[in-house]
Amino acid sequence: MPVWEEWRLDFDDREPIYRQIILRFCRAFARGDIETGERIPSIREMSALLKVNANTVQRAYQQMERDGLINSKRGTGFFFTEDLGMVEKTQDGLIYDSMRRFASEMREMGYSSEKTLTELAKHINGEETDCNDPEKKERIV
Amino acid sequence: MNNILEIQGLKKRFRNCEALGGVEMSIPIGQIAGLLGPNASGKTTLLKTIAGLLTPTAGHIRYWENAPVGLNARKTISFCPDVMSFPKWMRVRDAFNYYRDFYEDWSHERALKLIELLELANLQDTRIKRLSKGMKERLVLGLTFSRQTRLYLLDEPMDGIDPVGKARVIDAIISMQPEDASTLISTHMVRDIERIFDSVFFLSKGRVIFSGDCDEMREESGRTVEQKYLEVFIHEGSV
Repeated sequence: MPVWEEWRLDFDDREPIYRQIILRFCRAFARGDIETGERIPSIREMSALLKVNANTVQRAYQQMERDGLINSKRGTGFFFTEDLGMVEKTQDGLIYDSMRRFASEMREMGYSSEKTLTELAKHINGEETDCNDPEKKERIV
Repeated sequence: MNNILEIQGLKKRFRNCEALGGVEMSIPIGQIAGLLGPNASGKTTLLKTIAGLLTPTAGHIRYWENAPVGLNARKTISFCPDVMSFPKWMRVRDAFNYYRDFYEDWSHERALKLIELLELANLQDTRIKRLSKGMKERLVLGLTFSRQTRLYLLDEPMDGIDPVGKARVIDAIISMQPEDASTLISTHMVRDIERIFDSVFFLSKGRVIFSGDCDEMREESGRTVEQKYLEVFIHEGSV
């Protein structure tokens, strides 16, 4: 079963859906579920698969194309990039956004920088024990 | 014109009651838009007026190029009412035949696809009055989208449908909207359906009090459209 068939159920309606689609692509790549140069579904197919509006998928694809994450070849469809540098850059951008949101949420909750960092460290360490699988660890690194 | 629909200063008055008090709204080609508002906010009146079933008291409605206007609009606008009555003798099959004979824009191909998507195939010989509320909603949606046109108006299409039925309805809307068409869907149950909207219009007491692109709204507020809806309407004091 292609990886995108599992994406549909875990969207979060608080975040722009198009951005979550881009994030799913990056994550799928990081996990090895998509390969460089792989053909991805058309906008219509993706919209039917994810049960989101075609314009939302189009917005995600346009953004990914601008960022060099996917390429469209006329008449044949969309392909995931072969350029690893582009993937990294896109991931960095998305992660930066999530961290900025996280930081502002913590501030709003009245957490000091120190408390935020300690709490965050606990979570990161807690997660690390789950990542003892060497293969998984390698991919995350 | 890149819009399927443009509305300016639309008013509708029934005797002493002003149902629409100057609605402003435009919907570009290829969009699915949500018309959200509590009961008695004017959603059904607005949809019926757009569909050419009610005459506006004042204001303008412009459709896409070459579309018939006024009461003739009903020929090219596919309207899905929230309550629809059928003659007692009618079976599901008869309703499809009736629509086929009645509307010039009927598409047999679309009808077949919808019968499959909405799982209406084994209900063909069932009398409509025997259908559950949810099945009837699915039937009416199937009839609405079997027409090949450029503007679909759905009035509370999810009312009384169970979660599985809802998923089918959403599937049908997403996959059956033609690329050059737009759909306007009224609902007061925002959560189940917000993911398929491009944009939303909040209607309160006959006026659009808030509108915008859904993803931009999420980006700015970090909240769901439903949360935004509650915030706006609780503030309005109408929920």
